[in-house]
Amino acid sequence: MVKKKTELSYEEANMEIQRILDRLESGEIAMDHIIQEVERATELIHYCKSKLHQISDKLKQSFEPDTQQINEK
Amino acid sequence: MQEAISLYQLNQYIKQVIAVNFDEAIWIRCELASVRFNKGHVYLELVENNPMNTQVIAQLSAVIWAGDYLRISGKMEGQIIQLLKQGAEVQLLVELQFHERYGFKLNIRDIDLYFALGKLEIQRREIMLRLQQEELIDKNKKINIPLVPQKIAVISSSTAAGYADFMAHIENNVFKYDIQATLFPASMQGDKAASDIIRQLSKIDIAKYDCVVIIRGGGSKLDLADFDSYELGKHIAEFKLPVLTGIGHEIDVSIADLVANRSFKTPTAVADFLLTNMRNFDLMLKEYHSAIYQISHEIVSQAENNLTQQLIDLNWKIRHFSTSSLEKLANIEFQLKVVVRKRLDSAFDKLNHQLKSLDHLDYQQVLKRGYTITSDSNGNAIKFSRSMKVGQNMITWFQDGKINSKIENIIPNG
Repeated sequence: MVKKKTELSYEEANMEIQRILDRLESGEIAMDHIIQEVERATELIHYCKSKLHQISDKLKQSFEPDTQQINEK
Repeated sequence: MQEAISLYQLNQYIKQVIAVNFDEAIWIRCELASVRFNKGHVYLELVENNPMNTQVIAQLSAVIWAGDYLRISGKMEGQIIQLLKQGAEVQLLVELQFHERYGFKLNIRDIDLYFALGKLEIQRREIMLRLQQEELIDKNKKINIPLVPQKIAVISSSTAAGYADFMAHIENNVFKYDIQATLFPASMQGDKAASDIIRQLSKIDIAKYDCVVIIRGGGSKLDLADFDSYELGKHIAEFKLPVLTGIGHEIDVSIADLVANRSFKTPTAVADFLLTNMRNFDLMLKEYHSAIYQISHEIVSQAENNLTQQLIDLNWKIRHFSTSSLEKLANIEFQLKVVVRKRLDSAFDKLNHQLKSLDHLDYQQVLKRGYTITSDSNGNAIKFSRSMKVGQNMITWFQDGKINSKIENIIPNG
């Protein structure tokens, strides 16, 4: 049972991508299913990339150079 | 009736005797039994004690006239009031004077500063030894100065120059750190200094402050003696907060400085020290901040690179897969062709071979019947006489062999 794309965690998506790659390598995938699998892998890669971009943006926001005074200890 | 001189004459005589024998001032050593100031003059009782039983064995009154006092005071870096303490042992330059009316008086013209300093130094060393033996010298130093000391108890005099400097430095610090300094006023000079400071120390609520700073502006070696008290040293050493001193002395270090957590040459040096510590902490935080960002950024970058790599990998695998499948098919196709070709070729060969066999069999039957077959020298059967020429070689085939002959003439039919 394949989880819907939007529910997957980053790590889960990553693992699935690697699984598909490995199966392509070993020739396990039936000819008829190849297109399907490749499309799924590509989709997952783009999903992961967009997650990374979100994280990167948040990082930039949180860590703006800080010129606050030291106030209470 | 006796011969008598007048009292005045006697005193005059005594006066002359003394004047003649003591025409110059002399240095004496004694102890000050009492010191009294009045209208700018200083009246003292000088004594010497029997070292065994501390009984007084010599005593004289002495005076420092206002003019002399000002002069001596001006000569010394600080006030001579430090030296004129009851109980102090001093060396004095005195003029003996005998006045007919007022009697014998010592006129103090000068005070031996180095003797006094020597005494002070000896005292200081004794106190230092005592504090060392009681393991108090390092006690306050064992308390760690907080990284960010923002609440400071300042023991100083509000009129002391050092205090104003310190506060200016702290409150208007260039880094804009928020520091609160609370004054616990004490006299920073004279007899009262040590006891004032001790009293103020006891008033400081250690829960509300990060450290204590004792400061005053510059002074002389003599002034420093105010801070050489054993009691003061003990109180500072045992205080539960770090105590920093900036008592403003170029070279010497007082007892208070010795026992303090850290001592500095000036009040502003203390301020700078505190600010520098805070600044270092601030910078360290910024560094950590920066490092966290860097590392996080790298992790994300790395992950992104991995994904890109996977994408490339995927593409490559697909291409490779389809290329290799096509190759396989082409291979099969080729093999198919080869196999078929082979089969066909082999079939043709077989047929040819059969045909040849057939041919061969056929003409043997003819020969057996007694016929001959004529062929050219290549074995090709000749069916027409006109296809030969005179002089050409020909072969005649019999059932039992062949005869080679040469054509003599050719006679066509008709």
